[in-house]
Amino acid sequence: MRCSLPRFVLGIAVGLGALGCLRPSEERARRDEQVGSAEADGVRVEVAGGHAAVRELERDRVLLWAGAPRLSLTFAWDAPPPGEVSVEVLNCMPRAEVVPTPSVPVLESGRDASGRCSFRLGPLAGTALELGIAPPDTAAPSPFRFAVMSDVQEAIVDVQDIYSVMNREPDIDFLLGAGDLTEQGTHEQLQRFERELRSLSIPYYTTLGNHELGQSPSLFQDYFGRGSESFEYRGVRFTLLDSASATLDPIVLDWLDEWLAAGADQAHVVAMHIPPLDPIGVRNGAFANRNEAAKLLRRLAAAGVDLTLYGHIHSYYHFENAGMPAHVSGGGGAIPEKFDDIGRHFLVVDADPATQRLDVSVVRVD
Amino acid sequence: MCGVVSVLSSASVRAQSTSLVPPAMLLGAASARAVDAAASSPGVVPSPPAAAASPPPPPEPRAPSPLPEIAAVFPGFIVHGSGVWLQHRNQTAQRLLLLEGAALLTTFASGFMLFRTGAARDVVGPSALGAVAGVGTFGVSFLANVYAAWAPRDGFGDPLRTLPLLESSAGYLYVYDPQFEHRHFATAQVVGRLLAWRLAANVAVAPGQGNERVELGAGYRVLGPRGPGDAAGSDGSYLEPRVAFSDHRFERDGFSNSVIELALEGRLDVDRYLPDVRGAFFQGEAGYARQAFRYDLPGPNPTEWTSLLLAHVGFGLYLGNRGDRQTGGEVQLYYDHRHDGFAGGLKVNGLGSGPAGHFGILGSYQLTPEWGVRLRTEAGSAYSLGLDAVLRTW
Repeated sequence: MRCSLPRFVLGIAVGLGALGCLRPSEERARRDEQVGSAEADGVRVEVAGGHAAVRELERDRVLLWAGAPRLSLTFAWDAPPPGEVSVEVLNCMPRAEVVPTPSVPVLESGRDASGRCSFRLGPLAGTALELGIAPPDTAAPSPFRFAVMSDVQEAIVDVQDIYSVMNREPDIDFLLGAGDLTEQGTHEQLQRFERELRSLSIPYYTTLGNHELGQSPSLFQDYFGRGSESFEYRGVRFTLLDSASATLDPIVLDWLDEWLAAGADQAHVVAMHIPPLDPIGVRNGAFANRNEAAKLLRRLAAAGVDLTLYGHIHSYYHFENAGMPAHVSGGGGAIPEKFDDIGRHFLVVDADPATQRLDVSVVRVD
Repeated sequence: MCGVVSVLSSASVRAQSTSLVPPAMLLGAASARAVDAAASSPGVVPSPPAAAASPPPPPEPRAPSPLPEIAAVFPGFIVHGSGVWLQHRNQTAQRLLLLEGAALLTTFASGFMLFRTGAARDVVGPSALGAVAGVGTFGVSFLANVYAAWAPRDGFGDPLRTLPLLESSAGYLYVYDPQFEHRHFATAQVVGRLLAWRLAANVAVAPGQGNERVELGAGYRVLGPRGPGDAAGSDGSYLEPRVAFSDHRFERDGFSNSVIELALEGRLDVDRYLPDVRGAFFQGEAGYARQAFRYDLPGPNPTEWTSLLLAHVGFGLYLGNRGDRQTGGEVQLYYDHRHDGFAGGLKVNGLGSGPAGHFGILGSYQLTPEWGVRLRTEAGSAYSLGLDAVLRTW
């Protein structure tokens, strides 16, 4: 094998670089590409945008974990198709409805208190079926509210305090998360997080944090889907980025270009776990490389991103990065930053797509 | 392999030291070497002459070579000084263990403070500095422990005790950063010293790749070797407060950043602490910087300020600089806490990404009193490798 200059440099630096690598999140980015696609028993399911993790798939049944409020999925069966198909969606939006194309009778539709939607459709007319699953009237722009919460970690034991306050907040459509749901990202911890979430009346769409990287490979995507994704809701674009390794992988940056272009004429909210720059620079709870951070921020600002949301730092900070409003909110209960007089909290954002206003307020829990 | 055999062989016959020598006497010993230096060529000092009286015979090693050398690595990684203890160098073993203990204590104290305060904004600077100092000291203590067991009695070289008036260099820097397209840089550096003062300019330009970095610095050598016109230093140890300004432009990527920094840089020759370990040094730095980002964006273009914690911990060896050859240099393995520059901070695939800086090796060697080479490689968010030709004017 010929030794290219990068490999030569790599060889020189091998001892120094043994502790780290240049693309620690590359594997997760490649796994992101697989989220939402599954094949089994002569059926193939594809969730557009990877907006849901396929938890279980049988010929006549699929179980999804929704990672976005509006889902579009397609089925393709080997002939002959089953008579009926059952679609169950965990972390489902309240009032979600299913719209099949081509038209198929909806035999059953409902959402239980834990946020699980169940739909049964049949008889199927062909070997392909496309389903839209979303609350009605959420494709067109209209004002709404969403919440933001991150960094629960070991405070999962008390997370119900936060959920009960959040449940009392009026008119919140969903909760957006910037990672660190668990301490180590183990199966048990991810399952516990999911169980606790059942008492929250709204779905939780989140990326992962560095605390989900305690297992290798990370299990997050198996449970909650993509680390990096982008979706539109009521005329506002939301982009979640996997910065759990204090960097964005170049693969994600390629996707980001498309998402920024898609959101150019909309209000655009970008959330990630580790902020590009820490407002307290000497701490550097931020990207490992400040030049990479500046390059990303410049790219977001040039594309007209309206709001940036971060976690990782267990406090609340409001500042500007590259001229964009930035909020660090790590108020889920994980080891709190002392002397900040904040405590557990979450954010509520009032979004008005018509004016592209995104007003952020802090709701204290303690 | 030959080098390793040589090192082992030398280590096995090294002199032993078992007496406890107060630090003040260490400084005295260093001063005595400085007297020897007066007779030498500019900037170079011959090796200390053999003692007139026969030294007492060294105590027998507790284990034959290569067991001490192996023990320096393991269990030396856990118990620093294991190797030299087997060589029956009790004082060195005790002091290495003491250094390790201080490092661990500092690390745990800082870690405890970071953990208990949640890295609170008002205390994170000193706590993080303590953590870097603790972990860094553990690292250099381990390296000193290995070096002490492996290296020949007089090490591989001596420090310069007078610094050149002017040191100019030009070279090439290769940078591999998956986030940026720039790769190839032309570099130039000028460092001028007179008495205790130092002025430096450093530039790296990537022709046609839209990236350039300029740095200006100044320092005042409070202690240690200085430039022409001043007395020679007693050894390579020094203390130098410094200021610097750098401007790094990323034209292709639409932003630039500037850094103003203030730091205290220092070096301690290892034999001041471990009298029978010669030819090596501990390097350190602590400081604070303000960093400003400017973005190439339409409309109002605010400058955003942030801060940087500066910390550097290294362990190095002197090479050559003996007799009248006036040739030699040094090599240093270091950790630098910076997150700017070309290397940035280390990316770790796990829980700990973000706070860590980068590692590097810096080596320089004068082939003649005037001409030499310098090599630097760093590994953080990027890998870099630079090679310079160096011209010294005395």
